[in-house]
Amino acid sequence: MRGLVFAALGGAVAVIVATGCGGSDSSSDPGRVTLHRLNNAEYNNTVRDLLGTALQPANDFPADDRGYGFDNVADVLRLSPLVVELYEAAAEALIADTLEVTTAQTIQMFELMGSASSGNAQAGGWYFFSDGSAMVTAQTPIAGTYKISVRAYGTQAGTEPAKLQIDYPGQTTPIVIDVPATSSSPAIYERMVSLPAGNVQITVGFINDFYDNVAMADRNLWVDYVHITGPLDGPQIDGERRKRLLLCDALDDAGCQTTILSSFAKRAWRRPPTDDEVAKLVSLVGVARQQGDTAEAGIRLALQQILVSPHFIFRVEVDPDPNSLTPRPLTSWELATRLSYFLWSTMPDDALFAAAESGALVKDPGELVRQAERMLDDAKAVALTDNFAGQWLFTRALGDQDPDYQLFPAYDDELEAAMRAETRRYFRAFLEEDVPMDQFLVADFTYVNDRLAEFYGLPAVNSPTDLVRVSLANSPRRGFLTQGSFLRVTSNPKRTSPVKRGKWILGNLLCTPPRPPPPGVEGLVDSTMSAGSIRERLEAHRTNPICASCHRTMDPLGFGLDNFDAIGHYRTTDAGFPINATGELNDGAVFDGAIEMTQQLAANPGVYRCMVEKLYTYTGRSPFRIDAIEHIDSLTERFIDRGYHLRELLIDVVSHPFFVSRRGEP
Amino acid sequence: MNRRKFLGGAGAMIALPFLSSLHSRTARGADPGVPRRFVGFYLPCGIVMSNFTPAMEGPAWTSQILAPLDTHRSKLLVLTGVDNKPGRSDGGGDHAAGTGSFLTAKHVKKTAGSDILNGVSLDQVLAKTLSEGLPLPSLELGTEPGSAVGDCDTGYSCAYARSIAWSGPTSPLPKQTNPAAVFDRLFAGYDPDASAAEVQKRKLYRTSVLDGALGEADSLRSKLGRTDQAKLDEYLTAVRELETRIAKPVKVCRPGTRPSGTLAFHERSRAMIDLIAIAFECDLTRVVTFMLGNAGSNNAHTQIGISDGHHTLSHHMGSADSLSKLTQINIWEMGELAYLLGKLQAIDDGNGVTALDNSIVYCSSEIEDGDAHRHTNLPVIVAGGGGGTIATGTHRRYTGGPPMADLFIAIAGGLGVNLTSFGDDGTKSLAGIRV
Repeated sequence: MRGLVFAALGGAVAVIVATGCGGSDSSSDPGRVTLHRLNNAEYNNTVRDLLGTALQPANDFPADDRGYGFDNVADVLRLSPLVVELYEAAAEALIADTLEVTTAQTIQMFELMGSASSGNAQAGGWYFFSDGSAMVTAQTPIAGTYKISVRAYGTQAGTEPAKLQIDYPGQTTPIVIDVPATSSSPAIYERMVSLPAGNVQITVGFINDFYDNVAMADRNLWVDYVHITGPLDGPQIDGERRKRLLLCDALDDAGCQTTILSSFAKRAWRRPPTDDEVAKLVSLVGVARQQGDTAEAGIRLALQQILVSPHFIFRVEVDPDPNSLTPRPLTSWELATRLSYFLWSTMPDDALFAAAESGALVKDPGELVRQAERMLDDAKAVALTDNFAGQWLFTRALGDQDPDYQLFPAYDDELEAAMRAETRRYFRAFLEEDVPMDQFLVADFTYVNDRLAEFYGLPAVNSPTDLVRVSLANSPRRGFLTQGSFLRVTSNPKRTSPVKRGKWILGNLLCTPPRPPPPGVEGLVDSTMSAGSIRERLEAHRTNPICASCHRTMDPLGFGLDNFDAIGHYRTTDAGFPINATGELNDGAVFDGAIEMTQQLAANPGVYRCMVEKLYTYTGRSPFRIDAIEHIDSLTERFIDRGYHLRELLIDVVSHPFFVSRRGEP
Repeated sequence: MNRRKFLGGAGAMIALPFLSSLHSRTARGADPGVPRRFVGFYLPCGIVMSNFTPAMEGPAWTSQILAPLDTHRSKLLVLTGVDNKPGRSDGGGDHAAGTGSFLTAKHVKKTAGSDILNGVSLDQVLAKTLSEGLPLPSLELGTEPGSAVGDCDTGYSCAYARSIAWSGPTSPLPKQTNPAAVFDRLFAGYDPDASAAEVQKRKLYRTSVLDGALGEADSLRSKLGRTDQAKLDEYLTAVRELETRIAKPVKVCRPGTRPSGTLAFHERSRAMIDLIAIAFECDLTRVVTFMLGNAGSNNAHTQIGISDGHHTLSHHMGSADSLSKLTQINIWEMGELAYLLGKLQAIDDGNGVTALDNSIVYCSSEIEDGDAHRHTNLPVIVAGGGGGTIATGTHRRYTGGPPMADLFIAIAGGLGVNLTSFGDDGTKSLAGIRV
């Protein structure tokens, strides 16, 4: 299929790395990737898998720079003083979070039981209208310190606030608490007490009833609840995450320190640390000990250092000769890291590390493919959907801007969430279930819940939350371009933008982005809709030859989708004007509406070449190399010949010499 | 030079250490004991000039858009007719090009790759002197992190579109957009009640951790090729800067309440301005840049009932409705500037002088009119007295399009930093600015 006519490469379109067809390319230069700072998504995923933390420190790092449409291009990922400062703070917070020690505690809540002569049960609590007491019985597992929390307020009268008394077995001093709180803001009163083990009766009482018949003043006490928490001084429980980090107990012992730090450095740096590196880490324990702190305090410092180290922050690939242009195979550790950040946007897991440790990953040609297959089946492969597809398809931008709520009252968070979930699920059908990519633009199925089904005019699916696969056979929708997420992110708040939709198709589906508009002519006034349909007004572009050169190819593609409004709702008119969704592709094919247009696009081989090119950009993380054109072409041929299977394409990419080797630079 | 002052919000007393005098580069006549400050205040998408430009020169100016600033008029200098010609784009991308050039007055290199090229921005030039000896040379703040997908602006790097502060020609300083994270950066791990020994120990620990990382980076560097070395140098420089910061004396200051991390756009703007004031009150830095949106922001100003995107609206093509909405947005923006000026006015620098009197706030946009994308006749507000060096209280109209870089030279001089040239076209101090 060498003779395929692919769409011409747009000027500065990026490219990269490998080809899948093992040797049909004339070039054997794998190029090099610059020292790659973990981007924000990679940082969050990595600390999640390294520490099991729920913290996502990178959410507050500065936004990553993008190059060529993706945020993982190594040259463009800059490192500022600010982000290093944030790394330092994140390391401290992450280690503290992981090493947190907790005690086994329970909170017990009770119903109050009292005497009807002085009060009665009210809304789950107890209302004292005169002096008296109510009681709860707590089960305490051991003798120890417990916290009694009483939420209460008073109807205040007289010269002093309502008084609450607490009594418990073994009490040495009476507890009497002033309760100045009132019904508008009840207060929680807490006391630490020593309780014996067993069934313990705790009494709360009202001791200063006041009633002045003449003044109509009446002081009463309301107790909302009594909670017992504890034991506070019970045995400390090491969290699972702490145990995973502190692999031995003799923290004062140098051998134990070495075990902990070398093991953590190996996972964090994605390679075994040298003895010298570990010795330097261990020396931080001495720094803390000299200050009179515990060995654990010193180990914390060393763990923090591992997380601010360049070996953690960067994906490091070191060439034996950094100036040699001769390609060299990656080490098994480097390859494992490339593989996991490509497919998962995170560090390798234990199984992949094991394949790196044994060397199987580079020695056994089948092992790399087996690992990649395994990883694609893992839930973490959703990273390809979020980070590759999310940026290629623009759907990551869903939610960045709300449509006008008066024009589009149907649009809310629930619908937006369903749209986001739909496209994620849809992409996974191609990634995980091997639906061929030539269906991506024309598939007659999608995934909806009840809300989205209703919005799309489809029969109810009886699934309020989870998405269900449905047929689009009787619907005007087909494939990705008719999904709400895409239609929304390529619209303005008040109307569709046929230009944005057409521009995305040209740039991201055909890889032939239009040139930028000349200064001073971009944009279309939103608020004056009287002069005709948007289509008629956009046609005005084409009376100007400078505008026409781009808009005559861009706009018709957008108009092909004009039956879908700015939130993706189907329509046949726009502001009273009937929709005209006819148009013409670059190759002269004419269409009327989304179904015809997407069919014609799906038949265009340039679309598949562009998919491969986008995947390459994401994989290679480097600026354009002329060598890559041929590789993209040959990989595309194989992709098409073998039936458009995304998984096979991914396996081809990771198996190629371009993925598994690199060179230095002069 | 013993000075005492009180924190407005928290009401707690702060003790400022002896201030290092701004000796070597101090302009003649500038009092080295006066804390001079600079704020660069960036507005996206231009201004409706017909409703901005006062009809007359002189102190009696009136302007629909500037109305929220009326209470500060004696401390304002409204300028029209000043150009930033280096901000022009090369074939589209005026928002990014103009934003990159906003405080550098350099013509930025058009690229979406790693080979970005700009100049050093005014705030960074000033920070070297004004913030000498302080914990932070400068603070970079904003309201929008940056779009999640696609190009930033027709072939220009996101760095130009998102950063107005540049510490070097290839070093944009990214900004923070979450007020809670800014607060944490300024005050987390900082305990105002810590003993001197505890403070010293914490410094030792932080420095020990960073020294270890530096050692690793140094030994890695020798094994790398030149491109990787350059990337690692960004890291080395940053870690060394952080170590320098840690070594500086800690200032005792009670910061008040941490702002929420989940604020709407307009609340975020207010919270950021509050933080600017806190940073000045606590004397953590004397230089701040603030972006009320990124280049060509398409933010919908729903806080004033406008759901259209700002950038979309800014291509108004003369539509009365669009111009009216843009004017409302501009008035809202001036309200934010007025809020900042009010905050600075409330900070007592001693002897009846306020922080506003000692500061210079420079406010403008990356373009003139949103539809025309011009870099001439930019809307400019210079606020604050610069320590009695700025001739405020008037509207001044320039003819012949003097360069913005000349204004920057005048501002720098007012703050005690003498420059003989700036950016691409700055050669002298713009007339009519200094007292």
